[in-house]
Amino acid sequence: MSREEGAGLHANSVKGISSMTAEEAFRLLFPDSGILAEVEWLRLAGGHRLRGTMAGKRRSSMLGGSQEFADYRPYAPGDDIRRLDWNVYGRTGRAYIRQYWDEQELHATMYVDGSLSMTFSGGAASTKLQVALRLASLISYAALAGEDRVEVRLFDQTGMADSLPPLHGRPSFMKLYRFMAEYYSGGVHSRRESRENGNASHSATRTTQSAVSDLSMPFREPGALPRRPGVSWLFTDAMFEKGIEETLLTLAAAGQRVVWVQLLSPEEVHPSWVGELNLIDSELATGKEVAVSERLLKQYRNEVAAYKDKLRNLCSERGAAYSFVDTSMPMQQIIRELVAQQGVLVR
Amino acid sequence: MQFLSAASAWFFTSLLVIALMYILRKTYRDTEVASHLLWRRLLQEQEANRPWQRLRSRWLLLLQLLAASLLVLALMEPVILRPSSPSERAVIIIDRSASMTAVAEIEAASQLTTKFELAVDEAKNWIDRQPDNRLITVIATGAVPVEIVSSERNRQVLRDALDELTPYFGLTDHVAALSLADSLHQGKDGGATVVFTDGQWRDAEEANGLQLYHPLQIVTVGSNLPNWNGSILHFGIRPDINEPGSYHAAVTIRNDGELEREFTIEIYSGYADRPLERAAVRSIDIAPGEWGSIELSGLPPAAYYKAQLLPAIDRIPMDNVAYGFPVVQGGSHALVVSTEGNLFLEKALLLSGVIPVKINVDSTPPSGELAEGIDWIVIDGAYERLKDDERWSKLLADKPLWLIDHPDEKDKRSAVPNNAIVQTQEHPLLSFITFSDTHIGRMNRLSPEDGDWGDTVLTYGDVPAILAGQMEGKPRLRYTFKLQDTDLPLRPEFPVLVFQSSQWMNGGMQGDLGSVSAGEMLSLSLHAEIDRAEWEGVEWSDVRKERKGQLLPVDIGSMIEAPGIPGLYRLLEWSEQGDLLASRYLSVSAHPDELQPAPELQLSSLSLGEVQKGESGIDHDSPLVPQSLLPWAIVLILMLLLTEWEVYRRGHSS
Repeated sequence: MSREEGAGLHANSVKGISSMTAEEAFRLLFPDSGILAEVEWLRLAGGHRLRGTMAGKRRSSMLGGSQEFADYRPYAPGDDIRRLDWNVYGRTGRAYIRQYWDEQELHATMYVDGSLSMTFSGGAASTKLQVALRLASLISYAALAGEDRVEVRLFDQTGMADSLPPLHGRPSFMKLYRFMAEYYSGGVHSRRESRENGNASHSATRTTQSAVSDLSMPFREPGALPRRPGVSWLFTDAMFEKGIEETLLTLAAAGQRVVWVQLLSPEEVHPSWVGELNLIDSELATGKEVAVSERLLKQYRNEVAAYKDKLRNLCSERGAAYSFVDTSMPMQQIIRELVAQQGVLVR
Repeated sequence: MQFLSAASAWFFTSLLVIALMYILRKTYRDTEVASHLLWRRLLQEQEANRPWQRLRSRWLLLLQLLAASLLVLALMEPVILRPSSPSERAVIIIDRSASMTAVAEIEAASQLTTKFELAVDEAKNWIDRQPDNRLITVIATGAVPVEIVSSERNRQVLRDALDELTPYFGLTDHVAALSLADSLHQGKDGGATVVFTDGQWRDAEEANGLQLYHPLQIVTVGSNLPNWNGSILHFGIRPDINEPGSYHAAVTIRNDGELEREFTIEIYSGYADRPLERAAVRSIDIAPGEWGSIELSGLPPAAYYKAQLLPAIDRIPMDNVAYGFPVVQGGSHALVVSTEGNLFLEKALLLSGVIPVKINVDSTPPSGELAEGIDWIVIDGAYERLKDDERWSKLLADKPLWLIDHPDEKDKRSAVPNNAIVQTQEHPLLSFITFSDTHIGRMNRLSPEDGDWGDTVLTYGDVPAILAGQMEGKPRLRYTFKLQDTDLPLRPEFPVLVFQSSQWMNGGMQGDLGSVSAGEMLSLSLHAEIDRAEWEGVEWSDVRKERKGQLLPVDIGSMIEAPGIPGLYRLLEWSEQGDLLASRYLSVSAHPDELQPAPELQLSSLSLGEVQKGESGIDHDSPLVPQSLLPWAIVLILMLLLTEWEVYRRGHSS
């Protein structure tokens, strides 16, 4: 399994002083820009009525000034007579006010898992992180194009690593993909530096980390949760010992509709190793001596399937959407599958 | 399945070593994975267990262990026993030792069947049962085993050869026969040895220790009849002291049976060609396993005596007859020819039972009756002179000579010994003689013209001092020193030396040849003018008694072989003109060891572990043959290695 060196979030200490031009960043993220056109017409499924601060294209749970009819109610003095339904008044002689749904913007938050385990490509062309970043960009683009508010947050097992403040409107997409591209290229310029820092500091960092990886850790940080209800997309490989249920709960409590996108590399789904291996956990740096056999691999595949099932069940229990992404799939297909899934993307 | 080399099972410990190497192996390829999360539960089992549990379901290890255990199995030389195919060669051993002459069946008083006859019959039956194309070799036991028929398919030839066989009464070497039979199989597949025997082997203990590499079948013939046997152990004749002119016989009898029985001894006296006359009869009761002696006196003089034990028919009839010869009366007469006389020598000769007849060198040699009465001649220092004297030459040529040299100081051939170191050889002449501290002043050196008739039995100061040997069949002695020149006559050894010397000179002069075992090699002195000699069978104690009076030619050499069948024989010596020169009696008996109860026979063929004992050979016609499984083991190992390679290649390392 290949691993992109230093592509973790830790490496990105030079954020902001990006050497990349916007065009470079764009090409990096979207080598095939045609996909953007495809995505442009997609809307994030926002669930039910939402409340936002600004008017948007989203039907709010409040009644308001949109074009969408909600109900009638008897006229009361002080009502805006422009909303009086004259047709009804003409037939019945009673005055009724037409009520319309309020349309508000949607708050979408992209949570991208940047832990070390995401930096494996595992037989695919790009790492899980890269696929997650690209996918998150596309979803964000769709959201921005749909006049939704998009926030991007990167986290790893220790906490929130970086975030992009809420963006609005299509023009701010450039800001977003430059941010994304920074992590996509994995701070290539800083790779050497991180290597020179030595494995000592690297392993020291690791040992100081808790032996058990906990997904809820970053979400416990202040300000980690979106302040407003909305949609939260979670791009992760779900390689966390615990905290998955907690996170789902936390996000749901924050009024978020969660879309859980689990990314696994093909080698993680269908490993094809042979021989006697010492499997080293990239995050814990501990080894396991394994004599790989066909039987063991089969057991492992069963284990992966069971884990996916478990996640799916957890998500549906919490009212979250779950979708699985094999990183070797082309992006178009990933999008298509997301669209095909109910309650994730709407065309 | 059996293992020829079970000790190789120790190599199984190598399997532990292989397993240990797997447990201790450290070379795991480092592979980084995103997380152990999914592996953890999977590997929990593997991690929690003890090291050896890691070994489970590892194909490579299992195959390697399998291959290794097969190798060890191969080292243990596994064999399976399968019946030998009858087409393979067979070697038949016919035991014809003296014990085989024991009676196996008594049909009528006159019709006795010996075990040997039974064995031959069994062998013939066995041969008849074999397929026609089977090669059969017949070996008869004996002092040396004899291959009578070699790899023969013709049944008639085999049967004829078996009919020709006679029991062998000498010391039988069964071990050699077994080894020979086993070695005949060497290098050939299969093959079995079949032994027809009574199981009474003198060398059974040695045979039991023998390692045979080929299957063996023992056919025991003759049920062991109750042991009812009496045997004459000893038969001695000596002159009767009380009654001059008559003889006294002593017979020792042993009762080998399990019951007390009465035995009767009949003594017959025989004389040349006259029929036997019964001289005395005596009976005695002997307890089982005990010995008894009978003394009979007043026997008339005879050339030989025969002791017959009654009842004549018992298990081993052969030992019911014994022959005795009267001891030659009187001492021998020696003519002492001396120049100056030697009192010490004369006294010593008298002490040795020799009657010396003194004669001066210059006097006329005795002739006629007088010369006949002289057994041998001592020439004390005048041989050189007498040799050339015509009057003496005939006498000297006829009689055994004891020469005593008188070395002369003036003679160049004489010498003073350099030192006093004595070297002796093993010789009857020198029993109890050391010559230590004995001084010899002067000795004669030997020259080529002295001839090479004898061996130097004693060397004094590197010079030969005493020579002993035979010339023309007559004993001859030579002392190369003058007795007066030594202090030997003053030593206590002197009478012993003279006694043994006279014994040596008396050698071959006994009237009869005594009693020997069958087939024994005899050292006899034959008549000087002998041209040919033969054994005349006076009485054969062969059960069949068919060959009475038969003549057996004798190969005249330094050793003469005694006849092979027990009985009374006469050695006839003939001159070139056809005159009978001498006639001496010889009693031949079966070798006593062969008739002794033998240890139990427990032959073990290495390949079998146990011997099949067919009661009469009918049930087990085909002894089991070990077939090596080694080729199979090798094939299996090779297949395993191929599998292992395939497994390794495909990477199913566990």
